Amino acid sequence: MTELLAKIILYLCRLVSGVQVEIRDVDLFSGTVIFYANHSSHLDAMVILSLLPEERRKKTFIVGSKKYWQANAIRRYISNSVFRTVMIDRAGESNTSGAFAALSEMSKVLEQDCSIIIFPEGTRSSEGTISDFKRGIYHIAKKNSDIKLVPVYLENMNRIMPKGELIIIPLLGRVVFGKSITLLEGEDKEAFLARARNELVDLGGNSLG
Amino acid sequence: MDNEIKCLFGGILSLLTIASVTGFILARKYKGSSAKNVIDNLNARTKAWWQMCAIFAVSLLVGNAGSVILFAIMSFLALREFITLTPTKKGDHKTLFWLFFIILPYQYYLVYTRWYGMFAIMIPVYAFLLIPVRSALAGDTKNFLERTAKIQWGVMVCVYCVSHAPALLILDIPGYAGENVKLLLFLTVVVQMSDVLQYVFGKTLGKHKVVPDVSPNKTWEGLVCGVVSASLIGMGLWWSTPFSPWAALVISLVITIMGFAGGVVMSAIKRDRGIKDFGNIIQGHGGIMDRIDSLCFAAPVFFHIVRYYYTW
Repeated sequence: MTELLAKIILYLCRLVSGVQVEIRDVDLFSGTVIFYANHSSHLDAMVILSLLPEERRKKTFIVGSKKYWQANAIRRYISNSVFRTVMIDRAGESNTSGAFAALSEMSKVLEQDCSIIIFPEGTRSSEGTISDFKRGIYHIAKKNSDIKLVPVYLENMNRIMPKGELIIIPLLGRVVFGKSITLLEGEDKEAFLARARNELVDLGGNSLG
Repeated sequence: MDNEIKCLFGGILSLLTIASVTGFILARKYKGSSAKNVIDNLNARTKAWWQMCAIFAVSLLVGNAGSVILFAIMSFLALREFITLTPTKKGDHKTLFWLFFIILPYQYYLVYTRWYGMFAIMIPVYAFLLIPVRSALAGDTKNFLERTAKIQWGVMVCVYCVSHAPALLILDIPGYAGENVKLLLFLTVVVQMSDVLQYVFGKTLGKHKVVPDVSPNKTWEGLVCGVVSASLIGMGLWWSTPFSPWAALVISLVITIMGFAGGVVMSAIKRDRGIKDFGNIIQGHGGIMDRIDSLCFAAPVFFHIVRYYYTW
């Protein structure tokens, strides 16, 4: 039942976002990876999930804000029962305990051969630009240095369903799965964050508009 | 069903069969040669033509509602491709909602209810005024004129122009009552045959490019041979229309030239945006907009010629 619901939701996401997919790395979907993507719409995570092979999809967790996923009964149901999620409690910016809890949960998920989808900008951008990455992705990469990070560039999602809008305009989106990266030995935080972000920006290269 | 419609469909069916058989023979003959890609593309196109004709036939047979819904869906998909290429911003989101979910369905509803007066002015007057107002109320002034103009252009081409094809069904032509669907078939067949023939003659005889900066595939040889042969086909189909044979020839000439114009304009847009096709929804052809670009320009002109000369 929940599996059917998952399929319906993902099918609809795929339909309204009409995405064209480009895959730069062939054996992307075979193992455990960390997908990291630019974030501009509530559709983002669902669209990525909808493009994964079913086997892999069932073993992929969305990392999202607890405040968002716990906001109402429908979201609670979707995040608890339909899809797999890791929630970050961001209540109180200074309080880092939520972030640490989420980090150890993510590592646990990765150890169990499951992939995760993260949005390293931390929040949705409103005009489709890619902001600087928060340090979270660095800590995840450091703690799980044997796992590849795959940049996923999402185009036009902010136009299909922008921040603050409830109505979906079914334009055509594009998703590019780039070549994977790993944290280099001795690479410091700033350098890694900049490199990871550049990989993502480059995928959007000839982006329209 | 009227015998003339059977003849038209029979003709289309035989043509497609010939194309499929020829494609099959060519694919076997040139297996593994350098021409393989061209032939594969040709066969993909033929296959897509079978599907498009099947959808078209079914919707025409359902009756007026079927044709109106089919063209409404085509408009929707074309507008989707067009607006995707237009750099709209967040401030346009609500405007686009009006465009896709109110203006577009309402235009086709007007066709269905045969309200010609409103059909002819709803988009050029009311939508024209509504679009900038809605965008201005959203408060984003950056590139305002450019954004508004592009949205308006999109709705004119993808919705207003395309809706003139099913609107042929609402014309009252003396002695032709209940047969209007053949006009829609005539328009579609002549325009699409002109596209196909221009492509075929262009590939085989083409040397001199018409506008090399816009489209490298459009040659004078292809244009002239395609337009003339498609117009002769149109003349040969006069029996299915209210036109005399000579009138059918002249009208066919006008709509095939309009179709060429539509193709050139859409190519210019694609060139400007740095893309090859509007989409990838139809195998071998590209997007919906790549297929109906010529129809967009031919339909309104054909509609008004028929309306002016053949209705009371």
